[in-house]
Amino acid sequence: MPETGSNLKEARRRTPTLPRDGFRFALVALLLAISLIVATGAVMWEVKQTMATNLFQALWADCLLVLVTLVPLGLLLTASHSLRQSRAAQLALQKDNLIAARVHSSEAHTWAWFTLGYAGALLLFLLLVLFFIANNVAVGRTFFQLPLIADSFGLILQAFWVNVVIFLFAGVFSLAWGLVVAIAKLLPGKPAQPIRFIATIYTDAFLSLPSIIVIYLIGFGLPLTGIPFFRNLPLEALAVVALTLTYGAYMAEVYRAGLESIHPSQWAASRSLGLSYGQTLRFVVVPQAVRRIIPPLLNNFIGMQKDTALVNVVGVIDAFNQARIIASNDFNLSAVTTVALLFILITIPQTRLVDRLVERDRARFRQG
Amino acid sequence: MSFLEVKNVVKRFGTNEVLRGLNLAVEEHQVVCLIGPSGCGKSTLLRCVNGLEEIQEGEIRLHGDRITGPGVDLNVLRRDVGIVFQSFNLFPHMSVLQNILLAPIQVLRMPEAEAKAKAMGLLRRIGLEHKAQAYPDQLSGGQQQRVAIVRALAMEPMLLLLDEITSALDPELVSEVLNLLRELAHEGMTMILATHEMGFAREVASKVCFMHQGVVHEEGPPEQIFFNPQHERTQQFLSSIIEAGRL
Repeated sequence: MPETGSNLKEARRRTPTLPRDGFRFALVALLLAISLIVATGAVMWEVKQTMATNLFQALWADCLLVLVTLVPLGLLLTASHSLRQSRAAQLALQKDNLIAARVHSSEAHTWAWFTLGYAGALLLFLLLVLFFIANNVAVGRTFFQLPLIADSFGLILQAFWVNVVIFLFAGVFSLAWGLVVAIAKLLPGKPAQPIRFIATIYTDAFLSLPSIIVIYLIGFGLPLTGIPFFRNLPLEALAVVALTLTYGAYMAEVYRAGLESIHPSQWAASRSLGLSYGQTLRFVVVPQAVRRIIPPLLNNFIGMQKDTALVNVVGVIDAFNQARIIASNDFNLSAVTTVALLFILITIPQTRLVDRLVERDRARFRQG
Repeated sequence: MSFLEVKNVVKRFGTNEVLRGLNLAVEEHQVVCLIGPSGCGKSTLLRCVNGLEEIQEGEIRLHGDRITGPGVDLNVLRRDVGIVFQSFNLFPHMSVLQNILLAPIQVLRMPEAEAKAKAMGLLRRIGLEHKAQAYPDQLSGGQQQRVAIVRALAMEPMLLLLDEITSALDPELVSEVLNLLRELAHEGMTMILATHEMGFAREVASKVCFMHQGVVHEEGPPEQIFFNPQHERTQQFLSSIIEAGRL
């Protein structure tokens, strides 16, 4: 057996591997490019027809259609490039120029994949356009009526302010509350056992409760108890309490993971300098932990922002509730689209901000 | 009565007995070197003296005052007993200066200006003034370890514990740390070192203790331990050190 093994090895050593033949792949790419050019033309024609039946005529729109129709011609370039390279690879192989053949073959494959990738994206775009104009632009009319969006924008923006206030308050509170709960959960020693127990029960309970139920119970329930303090609170404040309780539990779990990720040697170093448990947490452990968990904390924060739309179940007039009122008046969902756009608009910058914070921190820790 | 007395100390991690009735006496201004194979309990002993580990039996006394057992204020003890670790353990989110200032300001309640002047003086002494605003990961290992030593010195401890502080360093960085220790020794700082630097131990130690299986197996002046060891286990340990070219 070892002999055949070494023979195999020898044989493998003597015959170099030939480059993959990219010709067929290139051909597929070319065919795909051609069919997509045709398809794009057809879809754009369809759009033009729809525009005509709706008596919509504009030079810019026509120009746009022509432009979009021309874009897929670029695929012809990449596909034919791939075809040429695969041809060159075959020729080089005939002349026994193995290295040149490999280079050409790899080029051919790269360009064929390039064509495929862009063709796939274009296909998705065409499907979207078809969906949009289907049934005489039914989708477009239902969700994207520009005049309705413009009319409702002011009212909805005003109502959106309620969402902003709720999530700012609930955000700050749940960030602070979560840290308290996490620290309570990690307190050492026997005397702290009841506190650990309560903190654990709290997080267990609120991690499993859907936030809509918490909002409903607190927003409806507490005023019903008739206790003057709760009866006089505005609904928005109760919504903040409900969201803080729910998201405080999520935040606590993130904080706990962060605190536990700090190496015990940092505790030892700090305690050995005479710092107390609390001082060690405050100056050494929490600052390092928070730095590590900014992304998940912000994910929770964004999640909570989205959940502010749930407060409509207790009758707070937030952006979504306002939009629903407008939508049922107009019998059209464009106002709700406005809310969706607003949520997207405020979330994206936050995500980017966190990316940058994380990157900056990483860069500093990477130096030296 | 000695400055530091360790009497019959037993330390267990679960069922694993690391210190088995260990005795040790250290006088003021002495430099005591702990040598011995890995796992013999050197680090654990130092951590017990600093109160980072609880002991199960025996007692430790500093200046005659018992520093183990219930009711001891460890935060106060640790103002007097500093420790430096093998892996430096600087706080990575703080600059060098902040690392040094943290304990004097928060624990000793020293005014900030005074603490800062003192910290800068210490940094000047180790030639790292220009790194005061740098972060630990911008320093070499040797620089980090010297900052860690200075961080402990800023508390003006009566006793300094050094736990294999050169073991994690590249060979060419070891000398800068040892030079600092040499200076401290000449100034009369009381120190206990767990170390594998036998040459250094020979040079500065007032007393060398060979530890084995959780007890001090043999102790004496460096000449005696290194050149005329009495116990068989000590001889074995030293001959393997010599074989490795470390003595």
